[in-house]
Amino acid sequence: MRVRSIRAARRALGTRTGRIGVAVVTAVILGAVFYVVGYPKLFEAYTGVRNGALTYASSVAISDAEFEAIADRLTYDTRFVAASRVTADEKSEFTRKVKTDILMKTPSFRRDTDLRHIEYLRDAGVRRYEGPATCLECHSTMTVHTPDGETVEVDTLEDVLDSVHFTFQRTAAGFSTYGYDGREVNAEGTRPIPVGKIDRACGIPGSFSWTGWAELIETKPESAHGKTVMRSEGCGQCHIGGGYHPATEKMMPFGDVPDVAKDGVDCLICHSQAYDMNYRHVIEDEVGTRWNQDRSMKAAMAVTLPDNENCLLCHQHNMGGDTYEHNKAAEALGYENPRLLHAGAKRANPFSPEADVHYAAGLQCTDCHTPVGHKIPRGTKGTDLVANDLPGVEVACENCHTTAPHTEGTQRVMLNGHIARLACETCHIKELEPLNVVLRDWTKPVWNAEEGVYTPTDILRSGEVGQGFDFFWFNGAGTFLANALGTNPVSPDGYNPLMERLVTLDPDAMREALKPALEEMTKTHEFDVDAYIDELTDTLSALPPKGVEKRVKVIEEKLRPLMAMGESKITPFKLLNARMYEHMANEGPFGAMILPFDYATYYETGNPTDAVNEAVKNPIIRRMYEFPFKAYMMDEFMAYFGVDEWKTAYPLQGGELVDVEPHWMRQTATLMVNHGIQRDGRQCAECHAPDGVMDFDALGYPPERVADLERLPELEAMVEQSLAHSR
Amino acid sequence: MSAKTPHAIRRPRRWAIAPCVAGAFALLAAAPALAEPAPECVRCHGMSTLGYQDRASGAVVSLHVDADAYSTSNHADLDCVACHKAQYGDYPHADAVRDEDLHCLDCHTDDERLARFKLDEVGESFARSVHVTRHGDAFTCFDCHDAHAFDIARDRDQVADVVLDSNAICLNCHQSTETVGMAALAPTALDVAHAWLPNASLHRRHVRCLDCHTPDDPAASHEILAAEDARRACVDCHTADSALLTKLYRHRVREERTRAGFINATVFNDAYIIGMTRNVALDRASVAAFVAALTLIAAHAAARWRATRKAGR
Repeated sequence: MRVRSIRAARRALGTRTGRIGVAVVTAVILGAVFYVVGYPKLFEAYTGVRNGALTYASSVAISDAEFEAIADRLTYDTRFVAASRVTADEKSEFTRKVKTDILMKTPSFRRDTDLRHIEYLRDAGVRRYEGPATCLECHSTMTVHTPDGETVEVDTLEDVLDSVHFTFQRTAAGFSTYGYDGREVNAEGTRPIPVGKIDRACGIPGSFSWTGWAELIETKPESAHGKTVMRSEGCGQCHIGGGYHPATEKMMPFGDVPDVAKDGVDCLICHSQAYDMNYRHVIEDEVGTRWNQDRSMKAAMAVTLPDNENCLLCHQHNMGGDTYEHNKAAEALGYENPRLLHAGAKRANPFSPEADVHYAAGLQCTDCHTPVGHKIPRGTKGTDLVANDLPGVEVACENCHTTAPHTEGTQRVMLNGHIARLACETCHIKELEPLNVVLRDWTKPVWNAEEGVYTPTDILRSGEVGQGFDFFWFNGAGTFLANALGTNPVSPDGYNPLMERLVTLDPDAMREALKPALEEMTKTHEFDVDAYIDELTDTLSALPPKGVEKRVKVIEEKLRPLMAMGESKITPFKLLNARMYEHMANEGPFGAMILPFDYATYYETGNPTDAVNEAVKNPIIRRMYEFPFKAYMMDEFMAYFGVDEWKTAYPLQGGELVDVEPHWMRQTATLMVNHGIQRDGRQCAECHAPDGVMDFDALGYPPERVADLERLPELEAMVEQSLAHSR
Repeated sequence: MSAKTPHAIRRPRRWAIAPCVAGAFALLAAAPALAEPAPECVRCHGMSTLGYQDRASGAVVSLHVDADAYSTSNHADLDCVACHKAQYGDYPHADAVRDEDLHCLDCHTDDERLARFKLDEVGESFARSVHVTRHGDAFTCFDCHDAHAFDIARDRDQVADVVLDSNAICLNCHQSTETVGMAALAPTALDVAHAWLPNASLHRRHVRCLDCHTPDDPAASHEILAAEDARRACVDCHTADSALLTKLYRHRVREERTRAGFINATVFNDAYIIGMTRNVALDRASVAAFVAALTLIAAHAAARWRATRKAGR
């Protein structure tokens, strides 16, 4: 039998077809071996990213007795919190305590509130939490109900690894963002590229997160009296992958993150009611630096579906801000190398019971952002080029509220009428947190004595309307550099924020508003204050005349049609501009390529150019200036940017930065604010007055309509009438 | 606003609309007749979302008047106060305005221009309709017909468009889950009620609700029949002498014949009625095939005739 088959094989090899077949099979096998073994190594060598086994000190085995002690404590705490919520309105403290006690002993209440995973883990004999491996024992697949009404079974880990929470980028269509070349990002007719986050409040736009993923900073806070204190910093603190770098492999045309990196997914930060943020700090091992996580058995025993507190462990950072007074994550900065807090807030519209009517009403984040498996929708509107797991899924006020949401008061009909032209947020977000960063100068750091580091100077922080945020027409789409697209439906030609409101500021008002910041900066930096104000208040002055010409042309030809799309409504936007180092070789009419900072150098030395120099040395930034990256994504990226092609001249020549200049972005960015919704909206006269909060002129209304809107005869009649009634 | 919102925008029950603003009444009374609604009124009533959620029914009641639709409607040459005579000096308009009692026949009784529409018959049949017998005076013309957009002459090329327009009026209430009293006819209930009807959605696209829910008598055009009285027999329509030909389709066939001539209208009739080929493409294809066959026969005959003649020589 065996002899016969060997003979048959020999005969087959003797033929031409047989030889070709063998060659093909061998090539496929070799290719597969290379893809599995060789390619990851080659990839690591090329990009400079490193992978290694991920271990966490908090992942320790506990005894049965310890398990029960923790279980008792967790159960008591959970019941107590839930019962206290029910009895919170009880006036007498004693009665409240008695009622809370009764409730905590009530079987049906216990059934509804107890942490079910305690029992599951007890029965399964799990005494050590080992990350995804432990979760996947039971949850290897999950049933998902898609928005199309289908029910599918998915691989849980793959579902997580494909979510924006892990990849924070997307190489498919589904952005509400348009390039300055008029094309929808990654839509039909483009070459899809990985994009996910261009967040300009940050010194490190998302695409550069390699240069500041997990950093250890030597700080010299006043309180330490000259001693050095290590602090943690970097993008990785808010991303669930626990590796030594962002999921770089997922950004490439092929390849996958290695299995060792998959072990780093932090399930519990979203799923545990007892996640200890003190475990979230940077650790260093022989491979490099990465973020630690809470893998304690206690956290695992408190597993539930995510609730608001879970989401906010990370997301309050971009909503209320790190230093927002009700930011819970800031109460636990780390057992070692505590995290550095960012003082200015990116959006300054907190989601908290104190600031948001929906939170106070008991709503969960997931009520509006309804997950589909591990994919979570952002909504269909946005200016900020942030990747979205479920692009078509609407997250909007109208999902719950009717088209006539005002149900009380004599004004209700008229208020409902306004919905045709105003976003709900326009009246129901009356201010942002004062921490709101409006103008941040990364190029002139100042010493922060309390933290013992150099920090970028927020020359203007404001939560006030007109200063920290303002109103723009918005049709749901945005430009590549976060500018709301939309137009005045009654007078489209009169509205051009990219040549007006977003590129000019009143120099006198600015001189006044920036006084304290400028005084502080002049102590450390020598510069011409007048020239500084001029540059800031007329950002287009940084463009050559040809650049301005091209800009006007692009706006008229490429952006106007986009502005006129759909239905525009007046919508509030948080304003932001930042002065950063730009590589002028890649400059276009809307700005030039921003360069990242090396956090440690920046914080420790306060020398921003050294920090840029250091960051640009990062192997992956160097690769960006080579042909494969140019062909793979950078040319397309620059096309969206309004620049014809990606120039691969490396900004670092002989150790010196070449063709690198500090500039404000050519236009102020407008970022959506949708949280911090207040129950009581604005009153009529707050806008409809000559000095009202809404600049009707800047919104493009013709002068006679502006005069009319500022002095509405109806409003006067109404006031008279209400006066007459009160008499 | 958003098409996805589950709340249908309903017309108010009466001319509860109060389309004027402070001081506008006096101003308008003095002004000459306008071809469009008065700008003073449109300032507020032009807002497409002007409206409220009715406390009793939960339905969103729109107070919007679409100026464009108005200017092409049959009432375009009337200014607002021609109908709305109550006091509009106050904002919000006084309750008295809301009780304004308007009916089509207030103006259109003995109206010669409208004689051919036989409004008295309409009024009588309306009084017999299930809407009135169940809801009494609370149900008015304006629950179905928007006087601000009413355009009797509006011509639709395709029967399907006429059907769509007509059924939209019914579905405005009968598909809304928000309308109290109609809750039993909420979307699923509407489907349940028509579950006996094969191809219900196909019927809905090609046949007006009215075709089954009014009697055959043309004089009873506004006598809406309740479910139990409505037509249920398939064969009523699906027959050579279709009941559909007593209503919309009769009108269309007549129109078509005037426009295209009897033969064309018969051949290219795109009405969907079982028993005839009512598919336009098929109609055209069969006419083409017929003509081609005739041509071939004629050519063959001609050829043979010529051949015979040659041979004879």
